[in-house]
Amino acid sequence: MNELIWIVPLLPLLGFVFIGTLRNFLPHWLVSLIGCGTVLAAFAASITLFGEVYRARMVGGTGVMTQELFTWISVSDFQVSFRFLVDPLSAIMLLIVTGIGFLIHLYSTSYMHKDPGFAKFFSYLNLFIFFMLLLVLGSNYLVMFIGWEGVGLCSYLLIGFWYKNTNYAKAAKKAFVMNRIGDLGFLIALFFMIAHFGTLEFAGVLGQAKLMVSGDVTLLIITLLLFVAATGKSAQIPLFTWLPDAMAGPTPVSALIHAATMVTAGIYMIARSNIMFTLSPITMQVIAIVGVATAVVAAFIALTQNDIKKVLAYSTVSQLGYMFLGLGVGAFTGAFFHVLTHAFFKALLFLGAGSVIHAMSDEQDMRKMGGLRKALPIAFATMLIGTIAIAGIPPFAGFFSKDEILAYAFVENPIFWVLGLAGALMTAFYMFRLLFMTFSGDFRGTQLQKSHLHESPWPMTVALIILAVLSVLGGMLNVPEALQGHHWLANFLSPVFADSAAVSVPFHLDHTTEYLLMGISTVAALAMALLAYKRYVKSEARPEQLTTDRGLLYRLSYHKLYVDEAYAMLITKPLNNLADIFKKVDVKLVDGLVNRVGKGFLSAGNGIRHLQTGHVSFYIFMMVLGVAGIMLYGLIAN
Amino acid sequence: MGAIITLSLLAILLLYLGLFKAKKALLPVTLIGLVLAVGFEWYGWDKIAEPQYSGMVLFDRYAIAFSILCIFIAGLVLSLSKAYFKAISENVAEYYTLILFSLVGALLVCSYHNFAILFIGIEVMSVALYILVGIRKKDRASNEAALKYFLMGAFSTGFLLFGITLMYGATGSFDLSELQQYVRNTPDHQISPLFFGGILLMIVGLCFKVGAAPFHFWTPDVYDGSPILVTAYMSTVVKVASFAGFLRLFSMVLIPLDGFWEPLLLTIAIITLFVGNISALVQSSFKRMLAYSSIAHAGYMLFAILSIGNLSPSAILTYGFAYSLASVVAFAALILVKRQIGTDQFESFNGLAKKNPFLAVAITIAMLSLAGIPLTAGLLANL
Amino acid sequence: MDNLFSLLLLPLLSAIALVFVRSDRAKWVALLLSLFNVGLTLPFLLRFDPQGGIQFEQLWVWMERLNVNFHIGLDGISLPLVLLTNGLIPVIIATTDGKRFKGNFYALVLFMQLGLLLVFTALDAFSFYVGWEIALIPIYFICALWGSGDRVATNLKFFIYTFAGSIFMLIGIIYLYQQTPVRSFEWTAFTALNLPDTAQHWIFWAFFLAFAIKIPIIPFHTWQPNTYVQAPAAGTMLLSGIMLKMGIYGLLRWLLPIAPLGVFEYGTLVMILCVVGIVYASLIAFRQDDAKRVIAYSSIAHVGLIAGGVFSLTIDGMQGAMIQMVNHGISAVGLFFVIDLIERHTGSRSLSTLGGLASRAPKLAIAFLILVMGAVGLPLTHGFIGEFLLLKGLFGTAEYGWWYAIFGGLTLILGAVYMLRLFQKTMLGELSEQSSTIKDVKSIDVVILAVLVLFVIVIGVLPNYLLQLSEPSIQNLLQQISFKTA
Repeated sequence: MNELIWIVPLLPLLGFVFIGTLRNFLPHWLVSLIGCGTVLAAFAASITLFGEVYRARMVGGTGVMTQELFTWISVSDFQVSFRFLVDPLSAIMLLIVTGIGFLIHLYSTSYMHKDPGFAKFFSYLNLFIFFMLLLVLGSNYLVMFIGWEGVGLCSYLLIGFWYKNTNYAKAAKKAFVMNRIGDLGFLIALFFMIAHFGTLEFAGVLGQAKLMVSGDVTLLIITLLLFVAATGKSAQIPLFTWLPDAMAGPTPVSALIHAATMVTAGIYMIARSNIMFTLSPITMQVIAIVGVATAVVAAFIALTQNDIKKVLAYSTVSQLGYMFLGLGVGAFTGAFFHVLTHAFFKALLFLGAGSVIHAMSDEQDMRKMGGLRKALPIAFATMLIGTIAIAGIPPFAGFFSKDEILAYAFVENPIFWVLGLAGALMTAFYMFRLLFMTFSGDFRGTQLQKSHLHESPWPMTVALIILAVLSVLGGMLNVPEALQGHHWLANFLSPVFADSAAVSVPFHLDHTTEYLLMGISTVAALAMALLAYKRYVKSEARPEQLTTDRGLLYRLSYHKLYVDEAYAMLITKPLNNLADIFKKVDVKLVDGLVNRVGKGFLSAGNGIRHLQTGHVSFYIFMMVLGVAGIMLYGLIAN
Repeated sequence: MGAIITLSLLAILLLYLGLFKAKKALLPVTLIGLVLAVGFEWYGWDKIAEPQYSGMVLFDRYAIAFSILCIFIAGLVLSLSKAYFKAISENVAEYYTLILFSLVGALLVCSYHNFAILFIGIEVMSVALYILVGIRKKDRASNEAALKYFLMGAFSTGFLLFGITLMYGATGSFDLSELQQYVRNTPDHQISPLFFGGILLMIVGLCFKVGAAPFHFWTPDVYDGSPILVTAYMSTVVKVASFAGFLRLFSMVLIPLDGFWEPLLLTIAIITLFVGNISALVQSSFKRMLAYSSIAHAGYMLFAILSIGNLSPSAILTYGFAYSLASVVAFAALILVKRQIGTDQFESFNGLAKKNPFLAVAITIAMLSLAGIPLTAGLLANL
Repeated sequence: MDNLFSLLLLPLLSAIALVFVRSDRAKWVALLLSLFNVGLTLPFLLRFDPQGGIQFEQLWVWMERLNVNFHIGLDGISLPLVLLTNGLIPVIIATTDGKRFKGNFYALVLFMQLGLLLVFTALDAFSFYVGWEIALIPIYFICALWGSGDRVATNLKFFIYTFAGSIFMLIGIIYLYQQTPVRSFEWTAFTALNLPDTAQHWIFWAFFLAFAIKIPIIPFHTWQPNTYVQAPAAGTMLLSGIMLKMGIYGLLRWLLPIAPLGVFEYGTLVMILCVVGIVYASLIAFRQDDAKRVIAYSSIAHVGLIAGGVFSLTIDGMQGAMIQMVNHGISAVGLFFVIDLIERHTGSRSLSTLGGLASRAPKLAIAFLILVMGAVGLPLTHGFIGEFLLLKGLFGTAEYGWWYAIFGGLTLILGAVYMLRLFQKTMLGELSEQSSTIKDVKSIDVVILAVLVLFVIVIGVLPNYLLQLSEPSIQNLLQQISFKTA
């Protein structure tokens, strides 16, 4: 089986090439068929691979399969191969990428139906799946880096999909550039790894790393740099502002790239390198702090946003923050578990929002929605499930994963737990706010929009329903012992995190405390849902009222803490000014100097020319001076 | 010797031709004579060279090579002159005759073995030139140039003669072989101060002839005032011959004393390069620019003397050839342009590529060569 | 046809023949002749043995007395550049507007090819210098006769500047010539010299100035933007695609093995210049309105990185430099071609007047995008391989490696900023008024772009073939250096 790994990424690549080159000739149905078909086939192949790994795990093996295609770069004794690795971690990621990828492809066949760039869209999506699979499958950091940057390219292309809108094009550029800042960190980390370990293969790097002592400086540098990379790709402070802007892309893109898969690459990468991080306590602290700060800040901003996709975008940033918090406190399984459940419910929420937007004739402002429950029953039902899941109310998926992270955080430092809980409360509030503003009350849009309201066609609803089911059941994958569960996911992934587990203090929390924590977070989430209900349904708030509350905190939240403005003032503007200065320096000073040298010769020439007076007496005078000089030389030299 | 005699006779023959108004025969006869002279020179190539005529002259390969070069360049200049001289002067035959006399002087300078011949050669070469420069009798610039050239030339000849005298005073001989013996056999500190004085004065005299700074002042004025072809002749044949003479003295006699004269020549070469190149930059007249460029090239050739060795003669020879060829082409082009447009300012060259592409290409190659760009042989010589 | 001279002779003969072709078909004649030369090159590539040192040597005595020879040959350092030259010349010819240019133009292009090939194959300093100057003359005429704007003054500056630089090199060459035991210009004789410290120090500057102006490394770069902008597109491609590699090649072939002590002495200074140049030029590229100028400055940044890789004196940096020279050639030709196409249709290169071209010219936009991605070094494009190795080389520099890598690495970010800005302002947004006359690429232009794009990706996926060509020679060079400095 392991010699067939390469087929998984190849399929979407073929889809991309085929659709891409023939996009002007293929009919829509064929594009849909190829686009979805290749991903579905890749999903099928992934299931087989997963089955293989699963069987190996069941009999106690590590479930690692590798396949080497060819040597990619080889200089002197440094060699990097195109080499794939399937282990429990990547097997699950494969399922997420191809599975959710397929659902979103399916959804898009309908959603993008009227778009003139239909075929282009599918070719980009297929390309994205290809790069994402490379990222997941790479058996060394460089192949991972191909995927890492490749998904960035696809993100760029898809955010700027409607490129005629200059703002969208700018958002795409912003996403690419911010990601690149992180990528530089990644690249430098690679150099350190090469210098220190002499290889980029996971097995080689991690195998050597686990022999090092905790707190090693090289590991600290490498992990910090990798974390910088992760903040770019996974939209953490300080590089998170691109993600909300990325909502410029079509909604399926937001669901696939900016919620379910690409943005979790940072977590995947850190989980993959877990031993290095475990041995760098300082980095772990930094990650936990950044993670929890991002979780809280993004949730705080999400409280007041009115654009349905913006709310979800900040929610994604916030949830990613939780995942990093999980990584930072050593809950690798928990963080990855959250990646999984988040992929289900956030994809669901985005697709649901897409259905709403689709029905509302591309309206995204929730103030103009309301009362859509009747027109879009399936969208409502599924989004309700998604909301409950993300709010952390049992027994839906989000509860289990978030709870696990918070439990670890509590053990690590109760302050993390408190902040995490605060974020969770805000999450519950803004999600129910979104739900109520959209689906409850009266319709606030135009008559024209009202007449167009419709439930989405089957490909969209099917995708929604499947994701909803996953959002309900996803939590069962890793039920904690306190709830009579078996930690299936943790057991499955244990070989990946074995090294970390060996060097860290085993997680321990007595069941009473764990019940208490769960109880607090559940009750608080329900309370927040109620608060939102009171505020947006009971008081039957009108859209104008929804925006009248103008406290300081409200303004801060509404204006996204002015982070974009701060970046513009602190980074973009000084850089542009510097560029202007350099531009002037280049022309005036550097080139001026060159020109001055040239002019210097000319003026010297003019000076000498004046000696050429035309008077013989002067010439002879000069000659005599010359002769005198020569004679003087003769006297001295002898 | 055959060549020198041939050329002298040829010059006299041409005078007679002029007398009998056989103007059409002038150029063919001259060219035949020149070919004959080259033939005589060539004949001597494989012979063992001994100083002849009581050690007055030495026709070794060195002398022969430079002589042939001088004759060739002179032939080239003369072939270009057919139409040109008809336009500026009645007395075409005299012009040919004078150039040939001057050429005889040049050959003597190339093959001297005794200071007497060096002096005679230089004088023969120069006296003819004094007249040639002023051959356009009605042109004030031409007359002024002739006068200037004569005055300054006389002045510098004085230095040269003085130098020869001092050397004679120190060694008691004009003969290069004996001078060579003197320098070799006398320990450095016993060499008479007179001899050193002689070296310095001879450097002055020769620098004047080749137009090296600070004895170059005559060059721009004289080159500018003379008829173009005379300028061409002066900046090529005269310069090459002077360098041949210069080099022979230094390579045969003065090598052991290079510690004394090297710094001096180096300084002169650098000043010359500087003055030549920099002044050439700001000229708006093509002819004057060429004059300064010829000063600069004198600087380059001085370097060949400085890095004296087995290769110096061939370096100067090649350089002289390349430089002369490029100069003659440039001057010839200047004539054509001037005839078409009537001025030698740079503006007259605007649009030349369209009007006359081949001329433009020729000028370009010549200019690049003068600028020391390779392929055009100039580069080689820059060594 | 296994005589290496045939590679040099064909462009020369072609150039002479083309002078007499006056019809509109000159472009096709030139294209055919240059393609024929590609055919001539292939056997050398196929029979080349990377481990075999210098191969296909040919020696023709030029001036016996002075021991000057036309001595040419190929090794792993020169072969990629010969391939680049012979590969790009047909592309460049194909990109030109056949109606605008006559035989004399193409003659100059092929004449330039001769000079370039001579530079890249010469094993005799004299031949090298001759080639160095030969290449300068045709490009001067190409730019001066067919350029735009204040072309005469700009070109004169370019000419004098680069020529002035090469004079220092000439002095160095003559000096080295006189140091050789048996007066000779041979590369082997030069590199065998064991010069004292001080001599190597000034020889370093003499050569470095010539190369630095050509490359150009800041602060010797100011001739470049204006020259690029005012040259006709083909001239810009020749300059940036091939000619500036002469400088880098010179560093590898001549400067490093001859004056390694000078490199040790001033290497840090040069590295700083290169790295500062990357940031400096990138920032300036941010604020340019002329598309050509953006690429001109980006070019300075890129070659700064390449030169930095060379001076890192690491196998990675040098291998990166080798492959990135090829990559940069392909990118530069492609990018300038796209801009030329835009200018031909819309009459403008100004970013403020262009916009939205992608809607009318999707094929052009795709090709442009891939070229841009190659230029910003996205993995699986050729640019990544080069940048990765170069930065790895900088990182591995004996002193201050981290800093070089971090500052040099900023090109990753800054490059993305200005290249995407360029792409966005031309291709994306609403179709502007100025852009409304755009037409999508067709016929031969599609082929050219497809070929370039193909190379962008093929080298990105399979770089090893190119890397293996040069590796043994580079290893050799490094050994030579360490041996001489030990």
